[in-house]
Amino acid sequence: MFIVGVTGLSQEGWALPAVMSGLLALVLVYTVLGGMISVVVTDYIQFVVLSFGLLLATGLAVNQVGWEQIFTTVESEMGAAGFDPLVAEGTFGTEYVIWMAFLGLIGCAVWPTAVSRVLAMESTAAVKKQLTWSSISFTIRFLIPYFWGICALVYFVTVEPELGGLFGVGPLKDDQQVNALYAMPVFLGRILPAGLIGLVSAAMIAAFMSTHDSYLLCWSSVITQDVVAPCYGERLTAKTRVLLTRIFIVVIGIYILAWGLLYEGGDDVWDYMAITGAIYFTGAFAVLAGGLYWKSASSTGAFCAILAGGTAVFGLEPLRVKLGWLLLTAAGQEPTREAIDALLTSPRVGLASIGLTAVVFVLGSLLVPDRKNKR
Amino acid sequence: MSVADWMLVWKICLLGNIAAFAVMSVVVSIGGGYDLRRLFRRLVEDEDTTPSERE
Repeated sequence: MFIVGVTGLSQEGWALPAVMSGLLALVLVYTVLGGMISVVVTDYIQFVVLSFGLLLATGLAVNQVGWEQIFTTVESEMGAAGFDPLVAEGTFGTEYVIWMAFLGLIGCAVWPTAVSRVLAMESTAAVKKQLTWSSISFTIRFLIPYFWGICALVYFVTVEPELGGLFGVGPLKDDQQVNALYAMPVFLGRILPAGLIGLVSAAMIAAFMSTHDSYLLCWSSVITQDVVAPCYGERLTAKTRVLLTRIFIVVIGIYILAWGLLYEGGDDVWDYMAITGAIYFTGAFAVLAGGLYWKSASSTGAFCAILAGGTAVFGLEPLRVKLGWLLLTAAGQEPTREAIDALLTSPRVGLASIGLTAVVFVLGSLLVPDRKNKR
Repeated sequence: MSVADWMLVWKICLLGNIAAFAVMSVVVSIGGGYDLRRLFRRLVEDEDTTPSERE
């Protein structure tokens, strides 16, 4: 969407699917051929291009809209909700903040792409050094794009209110006709000089590629090493494992492209990513924390927690609405859409899933301890 | 906390992180280049090692 927005391509029709397909195909080629080495090199190049592009674009954005203007406009448009995430009239709230804090922890410590890099490093000292430094980039990768979005809001309210109306902000906000996600890239497309647009676009493409190559390599390796290989004992040669990994990279790539083009849900993109990630990490977190810090943790508890983590899927809008309808109907209440949205938010489902996995992990471990614990 | 307090929090958060990231970008860009050079050198050395030498 960023590339489509910043280059001014139409958000309808062929542009978005074509950009998605083209970039994914590029990622598949070098990830299949180069493995972790190509991922490392791409990530380095991506970091260099992205970091300087981010800093330059941020400086230009602030220069365009004005530093103090940013804060005064947000205050006039959104009031306290523009600054305080816990305020009642805002769209976040305590549940959402806790949910995001948990996601932040997970993103650094449990998320497979982060862990796969850690496991490929030469020593624990290098791991500690890498995680210390990367904590800054983890923060910035969220902070700067959000800040650009805020600058876009200010720009379309104060500088181009007619265009702002198309995105649903400013004095003409009732005229919304365009997905507001395009506001930020359109804003950057308008304020950045030609050369810098290319640099930032290249940086975003690099970030896209870096994200996908890590995921593709990580999950294809997990399927090969942890699902297929154990079925064959030690009989799978290294050459066969590499071939299988390459095949799974392509299969996963085709799957995510198809899903990305076909799935239509009502959640925001970020919330969708949080929920689908939660299917894995809610159970994984219980297993990791319990396995490290609780002597009575057992394999049965771990398996039960991983399975229970699947309940996070009910955070997705189509399933969440159906579940809400069932719960309200069972409670004798009218299952209106407003009542469902008030009862079941995606953060609430996610946090409930975390709680459930913890309970299931403890119960499973206590009821079915590992044999060595019985001794 | 008042709105003014929150504004100050976000200003400090934003400026502090951007400053830290700017420093880190320079350090990692230069240091990462050296690390990659070392990686490729090691890969070439590993490839040049014959199977008998490996044993």
